[in-house]
Amino acid sequence: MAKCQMKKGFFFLRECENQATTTCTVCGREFCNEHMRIIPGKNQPGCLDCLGKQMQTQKDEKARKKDDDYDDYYYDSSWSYGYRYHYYRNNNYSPWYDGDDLNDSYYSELDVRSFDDKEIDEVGADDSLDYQAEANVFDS
Amino acid sequence: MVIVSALKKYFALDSKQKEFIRTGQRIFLARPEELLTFLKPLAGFDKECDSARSRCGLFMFLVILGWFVMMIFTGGEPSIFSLRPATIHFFIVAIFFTLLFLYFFFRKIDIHNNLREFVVPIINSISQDMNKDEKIRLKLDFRGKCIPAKQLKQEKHDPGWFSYPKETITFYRDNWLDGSAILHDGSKLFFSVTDLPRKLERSKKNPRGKIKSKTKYKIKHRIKVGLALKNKNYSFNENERLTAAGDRLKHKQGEKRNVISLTRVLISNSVDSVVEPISMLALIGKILMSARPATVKG
Repeated sequence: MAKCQMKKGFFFLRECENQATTTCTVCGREFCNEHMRIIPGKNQPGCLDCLGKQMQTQKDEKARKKDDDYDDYYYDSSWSYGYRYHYYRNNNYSPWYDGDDLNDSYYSELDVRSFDDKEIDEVGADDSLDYQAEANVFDS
Repeated sequence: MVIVSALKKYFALDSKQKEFIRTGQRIFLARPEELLTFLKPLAGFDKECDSARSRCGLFMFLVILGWFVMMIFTGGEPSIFSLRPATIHFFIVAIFFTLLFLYFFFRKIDIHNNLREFVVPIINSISQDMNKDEKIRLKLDFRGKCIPAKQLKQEKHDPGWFSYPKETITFYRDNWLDGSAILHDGSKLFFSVTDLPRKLERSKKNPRGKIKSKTKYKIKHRIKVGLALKNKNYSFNENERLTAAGDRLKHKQGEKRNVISLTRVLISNSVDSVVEPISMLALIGKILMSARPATVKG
């Protein structure tokens, strides 16, 4: 199988480096184990994107039953995978994309921003990763 | 049965998780995966615990109601399955006190809903943008919002013995969440939530001479988010969108990083009110939306 097709992340989207192991029964894309779960009630594999979207839809429709099928996933990564689409739409947020393969039609609705849009200036960028304590405004 | 399920979930927690429930506070320095492994069972248990507590309350009401109905229909001499009335009364009292014990037990081991409805979703979302080996520093304090240790000051308006109205206003400061993490792009994220409850206790005498007491709360939830963005990756533009919703902006330009923080204040009137994850995620998003790719030096 090929590489996992998940774009992972919330504010920053990026490629998953793992090899795909299973096909999502909802969207038909291939994913690694980390990005797959069993869809409640169907006993079939589904990716975090599809599962998360189903969870959000169920919540939006206020159709949550007392014994919610998705309870086990509410505190799982699948929640944030579903919630990110809701978040992008409602907050007009365009996630940063750090990768080179955004041809997947599944993500075509996303308005991503890329670091490739950098302008070129002069030589001598400082690559230090050190955090400057004196610049901290979070001290009060 | 939700009561049994809640008890099962509680006893399935490990000693550190039970200690967190008992003490209400803990400082973590752990990878996101470890942190979520610790917090998820607590969140699941807390949800079950809330349902179990309300179920205990309902059953207690039904037991009392059933007992009254039975007394009325049997003339005070109930007889079921040829059991003597005293035995029946004993069983009813035993069931009632068992439910009462469970009710107080679940109340004692309850954690504020902010843990499962705010902290876990926030950690879940932030962890998606972290490298697996990076650690989150997290300080949680769920001991309670209005405990003496968190009291700032107290103002008393007491006109004297048998004179009304009497008023006591107590101010508290509850910094229940504080944390930081390094994101995938190398930015450093700081976040905190501080609740500032104001408790108003008022006693007054009504025209019929009865003394009535009331307690009211007003709570300011101060949500603060900061991002230290690398200058080599981002240029930052201060713009109106950042402060559009009344959020307070602080910006410091460093040699290597731009540090931007946004503070949002929400108001509620219950100590049980929960802060929505979106209020913090929206602040992070606003800062990142104001960042542009930096000019590359070449």
